Amino acid sequence: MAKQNKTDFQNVPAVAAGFINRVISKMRYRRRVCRDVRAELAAHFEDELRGCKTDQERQQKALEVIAGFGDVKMLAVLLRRAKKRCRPLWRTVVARTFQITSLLLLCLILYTIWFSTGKPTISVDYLAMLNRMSRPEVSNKDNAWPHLEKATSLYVDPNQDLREKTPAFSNIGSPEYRDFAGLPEADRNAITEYVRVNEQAWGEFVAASSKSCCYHEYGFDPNCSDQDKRMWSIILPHLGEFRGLARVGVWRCRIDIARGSIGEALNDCLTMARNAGHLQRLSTIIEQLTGLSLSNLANQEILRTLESTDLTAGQLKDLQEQLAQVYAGGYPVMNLEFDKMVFHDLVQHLFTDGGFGGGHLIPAGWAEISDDREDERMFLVPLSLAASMVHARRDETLEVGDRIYDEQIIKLARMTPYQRHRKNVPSADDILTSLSSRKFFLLHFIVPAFDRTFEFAFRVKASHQATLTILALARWRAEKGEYPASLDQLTAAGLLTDLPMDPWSDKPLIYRRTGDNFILYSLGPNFEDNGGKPATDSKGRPKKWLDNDDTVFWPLLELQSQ
Amino acid sequence: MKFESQLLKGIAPVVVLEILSRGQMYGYELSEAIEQRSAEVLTLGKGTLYPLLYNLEAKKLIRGRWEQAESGRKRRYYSITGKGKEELAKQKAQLKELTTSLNLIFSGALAPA
Repeated sequence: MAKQNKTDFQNVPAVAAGFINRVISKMRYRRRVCRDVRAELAAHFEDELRGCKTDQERQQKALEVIAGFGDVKMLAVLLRRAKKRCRPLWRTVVARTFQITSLLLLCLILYTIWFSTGKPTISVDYLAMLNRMSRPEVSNKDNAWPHLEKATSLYVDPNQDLREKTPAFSNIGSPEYRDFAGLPEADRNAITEYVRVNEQAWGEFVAASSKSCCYHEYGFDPNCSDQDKRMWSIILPHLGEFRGLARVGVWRCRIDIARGSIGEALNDCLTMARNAGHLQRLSTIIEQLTGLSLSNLANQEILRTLESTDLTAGQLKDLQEQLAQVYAGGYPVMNLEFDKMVFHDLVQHLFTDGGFGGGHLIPAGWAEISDDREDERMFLVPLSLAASMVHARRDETLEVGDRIYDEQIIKLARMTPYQRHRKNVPSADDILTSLSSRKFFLLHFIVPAFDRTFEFAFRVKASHQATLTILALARWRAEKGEYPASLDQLTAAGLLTDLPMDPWSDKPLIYRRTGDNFILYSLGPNFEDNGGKPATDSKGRPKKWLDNDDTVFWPLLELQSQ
Repeated sequence: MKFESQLLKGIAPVVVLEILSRGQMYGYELSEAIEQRSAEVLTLGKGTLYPLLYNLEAKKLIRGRWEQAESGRKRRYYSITGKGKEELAKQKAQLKELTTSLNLIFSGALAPA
């Protein structure tokens, strides 16, 4: 209430002073204006009471005047309203601006509270969907997974000595250690022991390779909380052990060759190739990549066996047919459905469901995916709130995400590097870069850089086809004493079903006879025919899939590594 | 006879402007003047008087100014502005026309005896 001047009520009875104070109190307006109104009303009472002689008379008259003023509240409202009209324009503008700002601020606060307290609605069980989708309609006895799982659980890691003191073991791809018989005795003994302790695991690996299909149920860690049950945290057990089993396979093969057990060596390679095919058909990208790596290793070892031994026409035929049988239903394209599900599941966990735009990103969710450090989350609150507010709403995020997966990434997975090069198709990275990193933060976070993955898949596919072709060429030579003039002769003779396609030219791999040998190569990442000159790394060592020259599958090159 | 408050409310601004056109006055003085000059027929309620004065001031038809009275009491005196005079002239012309029209309707019964 406006501070009252004592002189205002000097000649005014208490009842009138009280009335005036009540009016001023209810006016709730600027102090200066209230002071003027109080003074004016006090003067009015003083004038009205001037003729009264006694206190009683003054009291009586004051009550009459008060009655004449009417209801206190109504008077206060009328006075306030009238006084507000009196204020200058600039003051009205300031007052209105303040009011609007306050209103907007209030709305912002309410909106912020509503925004930050949003909760996700978990309505779809993507894990169950994935498990339904992954399970083929076959009998359990045809499933390779129980054997693979057992193989990985039985696998014994190499001991420290083997890892650190045996160069041949840690440089498995290096040609100087390819000949097992040529290794120092200590190394041979250590590696043989490593293979021996993994005999049981390998037995299960072999059993898995004889099965017609492979599937397993995905699940969460039983100890993880409900909040952590996201598709991206499903358990992918034993993937590391597959690398170890592949190493066992390679050494088994080399030991068998050294012992002269060529058939066994080839079986080891086929075991790896078949299990690679199993893993390539699983749902997650990481499992598929593990399969591709295993396949690569198997092809590499088959070619090394071919180079270092004299296989009979029968062995070659058998090996080629069995290797081709690994992908009898067609070479698998990378399956990205799981990744798409991870994206949908993440949206389900991080967005509210319903309302404007179908829901919004929950600030806590943004903080969760942007930073894992609990102690810093408090400082991230304002940032996560702002970031969530500028992030695209649920519907738009899903729409753009689905479009990227369906129309671009899944399409890219099917396009050969040559098709992408010729049509100048933007890479998956380019597609993501074209999206605002603030508005589509989640997509930038969740969609992996698929480009190298897709390219790797095509490299392995080309290597597999090259291996089949080289086996067919070896068969031809075993039968006819020389290599054919062209690959067409192989298909015409039924030694090869299809010509091996080069994903970097969309034409058959280039084949030429070279004296008593031949050369088979891909144009590689520079898309140019460099006459079969092998690409080299910065140290001048031949290396596949570099963009300075061609990728040569045959002859096997010294120091050439994957 | 006292007028109904609603009827008076419509003409109260004109009445105030007319009174003030004859010289500046403070609130109480103005209400007394209205009563006296209308032979106590028109009475402006106290609760209406000050809001009315402030509204006229907001419209810049009158101007208020604090002055020290002889008794030592400060009073707020109101005087008509140029704009107020123009408005008064306009309102008076309308009132004249209204009176003429009402006279016609009531067949001269409203004319002063």
